[in-house]
Amino acid sequence: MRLCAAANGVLEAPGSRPLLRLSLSLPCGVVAVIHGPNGAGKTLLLRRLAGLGPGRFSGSIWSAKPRFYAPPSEIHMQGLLVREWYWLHRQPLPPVLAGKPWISMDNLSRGWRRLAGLLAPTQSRARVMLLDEPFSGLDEERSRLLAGALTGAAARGSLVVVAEPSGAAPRVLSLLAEAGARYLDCPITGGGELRCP
Amino acid sequence: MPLRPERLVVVSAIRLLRSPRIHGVALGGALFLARLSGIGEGGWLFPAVYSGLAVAITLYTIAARSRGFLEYASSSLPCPLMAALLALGAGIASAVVSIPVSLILGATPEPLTIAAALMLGASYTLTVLPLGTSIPILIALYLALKLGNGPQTLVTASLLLGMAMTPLACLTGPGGLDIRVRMQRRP
Repeated sequence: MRLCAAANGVLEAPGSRPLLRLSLSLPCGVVAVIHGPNGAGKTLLLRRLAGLGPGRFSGSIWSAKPRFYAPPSEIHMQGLLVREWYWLHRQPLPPVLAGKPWISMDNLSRGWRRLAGLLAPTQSRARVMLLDEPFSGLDEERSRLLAGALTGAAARGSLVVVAEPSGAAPRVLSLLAEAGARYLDCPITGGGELRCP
Repeated sequence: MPLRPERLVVVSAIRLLRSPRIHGVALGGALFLARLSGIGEGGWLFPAVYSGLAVAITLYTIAARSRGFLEYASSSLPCPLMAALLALGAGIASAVVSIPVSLILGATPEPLTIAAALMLGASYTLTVLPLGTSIPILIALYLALKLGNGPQTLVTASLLLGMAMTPLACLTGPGGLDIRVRMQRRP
């Protein structure tokens, strides 16, 4: 199976503190759910896979391009209308947002804003999508929509990597199973080790 | 790629043109600096464009509240390209705002040039350099102005400084994202 991301080595937090020992070989066409306690290094790992700092990595780390990283904060450019956000991505407005094209992204509720912000890039042809806590702040209905979008992205051949705190992981995994996604459960062990698959 | 680079220029211009707060600060800042310096006369177009670009970049830096967007954009587009596209969009927007200002000011294009030089230098240093490094550069720009090297020299120097700093900032740090990191620190 074709690989879309791989990492072997030790991820260090700023200050050269070893944080996470990694052995990752993630194929294209799946949703990989990386979960662990707060401070385990999930965000640093996603940022590293996206080529962003901070922190250091001893070993080899790689992910296919094009890719994008969506941080836990809102990813839309403030001041844009919903329609403009989708125009920027050259994506059609999804049916769920059909009634909101002229609303400013800033004026949407937090959950809708998160969903509207994420649905545009997840419809793109990015090979690797790195999403940091994408389900936070979403209710059940919006979470199902997002899980469906991620499933669709994986079905089109993208690797979707989702980082979630331990407590949220069972819900996310069950949403993905319900949506029919091919997914990998990638827990970070208490000893600071992540092996996947 | 998830983001369409050519469309990033348009939406960043739209965003700036639509924001009353940015309008107000852009116009106010240009007028204030024009009033502070009161020398010379000349053509208005280039000073206006310089001024527009400078004000826009400065304001974009200060008003860069879209932290998540900057991180997202940095991960999907090469850093120098993203910075150039955002600055181009901001420049277009601010030229649209500042050319009427320069026409209203009429007889004071040179002060606008000086304002542009100062703001351009300040904007780039604020954007890409840590405070400890930007202060000496701002002092150098101030001294260059006081010593009377001429506004055109100053503009050229500032433009060169800015043009040099953007790719340099993109090349430093893991993933070459110092621009994003600096911008992130702005409220």
